[in-house]
Amino acid sequence: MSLLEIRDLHVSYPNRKGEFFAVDGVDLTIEQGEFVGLAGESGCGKTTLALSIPQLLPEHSRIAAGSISFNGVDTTALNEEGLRAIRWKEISVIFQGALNALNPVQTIGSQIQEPIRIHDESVSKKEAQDRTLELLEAVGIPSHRASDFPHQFSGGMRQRVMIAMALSCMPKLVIADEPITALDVMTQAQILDLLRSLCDKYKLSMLLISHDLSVLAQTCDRVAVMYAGKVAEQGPTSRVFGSVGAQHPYTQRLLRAYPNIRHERKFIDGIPGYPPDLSTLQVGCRFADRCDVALSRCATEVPDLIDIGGNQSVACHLVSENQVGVQ
Amino acid sequence: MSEKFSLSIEDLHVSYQLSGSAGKNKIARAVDGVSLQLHPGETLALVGESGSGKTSIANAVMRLLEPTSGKILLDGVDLVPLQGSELRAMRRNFQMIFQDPFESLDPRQRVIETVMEPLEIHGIGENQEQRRDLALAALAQAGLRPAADIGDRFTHQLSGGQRQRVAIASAIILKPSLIIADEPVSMLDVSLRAGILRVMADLRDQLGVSYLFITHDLSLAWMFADRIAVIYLGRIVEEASAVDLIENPMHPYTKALVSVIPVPEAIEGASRTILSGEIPSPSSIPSGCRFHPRCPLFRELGEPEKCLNEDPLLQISAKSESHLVACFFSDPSKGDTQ
Ligand SMILES: Nc1ncnc2c1ncn2[C@@H]1O[C@H](COP(=O)(O)OP(=O)(O)OP(=O)(O)O)[C@@H](O)[C@H]1O
Ligand SMILES: Nc1ncnc2c1ncn2[C@@H]1O[C@H](COP(=O)(O)OP(=O)(O)O)[C@@H](O)[C@H]1O
Ligand code: SF4
Ligand SMILES: [Mg+2]
Ligand SMILES: [Mg+2]
Repeated sequence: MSLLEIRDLHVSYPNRKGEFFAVDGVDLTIEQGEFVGLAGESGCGKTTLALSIPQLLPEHSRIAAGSISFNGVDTTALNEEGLRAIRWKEISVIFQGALNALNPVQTIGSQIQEPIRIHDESVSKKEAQDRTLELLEAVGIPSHRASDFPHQFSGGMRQRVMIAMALSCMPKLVIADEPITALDVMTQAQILDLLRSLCDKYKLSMLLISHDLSVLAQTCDRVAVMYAGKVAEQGPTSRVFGSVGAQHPYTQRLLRAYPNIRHERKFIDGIPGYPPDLSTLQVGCRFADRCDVALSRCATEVPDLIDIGGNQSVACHLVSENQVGVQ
Repeated sequence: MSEKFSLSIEDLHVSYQLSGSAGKNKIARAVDGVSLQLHPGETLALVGESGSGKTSIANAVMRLLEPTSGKILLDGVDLVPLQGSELRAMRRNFQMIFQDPFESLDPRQRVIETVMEPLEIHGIGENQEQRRDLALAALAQAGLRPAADIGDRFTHQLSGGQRQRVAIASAIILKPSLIIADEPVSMLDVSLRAGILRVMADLRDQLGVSYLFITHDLSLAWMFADRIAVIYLGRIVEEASAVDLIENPMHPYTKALVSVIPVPEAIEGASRTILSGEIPSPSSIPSGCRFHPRCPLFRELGEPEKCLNEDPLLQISAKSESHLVACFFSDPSKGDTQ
């Protein structure tokens, strides 16, 4: 059994016409100890998908269909009490833009300890203190700084505090939503390295969200690329960025939008246009109007996410036609 | 002066007097002796971590702050002693594009008014009609089409990418010889970046504009600039052609920065040098070589005295006259430069 199995998930937000689907039929699996990356342009539904796992979505949102099985339990069916039992202790979240969310008048030590004290009643005060100091060292902050306040830390150090906090109740899955976006290059490398080593050390599973595929390529075991509420492509990093290469035209365009110093020096390509307005009805592939290799059926038929072997799957008519041709 | 430079910064120093309990009476030497030259039509990228002094240099050139010392020559004229109308006359020739397209424009102004404003300030154009035409041409040149349509909108009715193009249109309308772009695309979504950079590159080709292109993104600098200068704690530590700097970095800091550039390849155990710690505060610059507390080479060499006591100058490397580096030991061809 996988640690997390999301099946055909639909999540909607209300709008003037009723509702629109920010997550529109997503399948995603995360194994025990696996480090999974999630990419896509702004507004593609990454945060919405991630927050649906521990049911931390805003109140006006709605899970309209699908299931989320975590450790064999469907989190969409849990009541408040059931959710309290899994948040922090089973699944924790490092929220997007949370660098400045630390309480300015509370020491970082007590902020890391708080979730332990609240969510894990079996832990004594002494044990909670010890664990806090151990966690600080684990994220690279000298434990004597536990009594310092957030303003005494740089952005990178505050992100380390957020990571320590996310680990405080020893969860099985950590969701990190754009944890390095506001940080400097060297600090980004430090934080990614830290996440990877913590994942290995504590046998954690991790869902790392970033708009930059290169970042995911170097950190994750597997990546999923979202476009307009759907998974366009997913697969092991060793395939998507290695032997086989990215197959979905959207993944390929995303890659060409960044300079690659390992390749020939040439101007980056943008992706003309914008992601579609999710509130309009979906006919065909949602990437079709920005896709320069679209077939005529792309405008009318929604492509399914098809397994192309090696645990890589792609939702693209062109790719599935070529697959059929090969077989 | 034998060579003609569009911009020549000579031994620039910018200091800030710090206030507050932690920094009472302390001085932050944010820019600590920087010299940079920019040829006409050339793009020089200034690359460094946040707090390294990039924006302070830009603001000093734009005369948004008084440098502590140093010269800033624009087309051969030192801007530092200029005041009032003399400075304003020079201002036509250099413009700035800021990082945040959401803050740098007045939301109550129509786009066309924003772009016409510099013309009015400098008294260019016979009448409103002519200024309007110039503004429309600049909007079109910045890739905002149909220009008349977009010109009529208020700036808050535009997307982030469109706003940055309006900022570009305002910057080019006076046909400056130099544009300073401080992180012009870092706030934009990936899909929009290429469009903005393309517009900037076209202006370079068509109008011969030189750019001081400020970024923390080394791979973007490599793609867009002719030359790259790497800044650490207020000092240029290495400077070379963009290609040479990425292919043959010499300074241990540059080497580390290049090694952590993310590339979309699943390479196992790629040799990345992740520096520990953070850039120190410019109010307490380390002795000797300011990079020594984080320097892998310093440690590898058994912590030589020289790095602790002497300040390495930016010098021509033995390898190439156009490759400059500020490190006692990172130029293998020179041996120990005692
Ligand atoms: N609280 C909310 N109420 C209504 N709509 C929302 C809410 N949060 C997100 N949306 C919408 O849902 C869609 C997906 O948003 P989401 O935040 O999941 O995207 P994302 O991929 O995380 O983007 P980013 O890269 O910008 O963080 C967007 O159209 C967004 O405007
Ligand atoms: N107005 C100011 N007052 C005091 N210190 C400042 C001011 N502006 C910048 N600094 C300091 O100067 C250093 C360089 O900053 P800056 O030029 O903004 O660097 P960068 O643009 O490379 O991030 C930093 O340590 C910063 O905190
Ligand atoms: S001079 Fe010494 S400390 Fe400075 S970069 Fe070179 S080896 Fe490192
Ligand atoms: Mg998000
Ligand atoms: Mg800056």
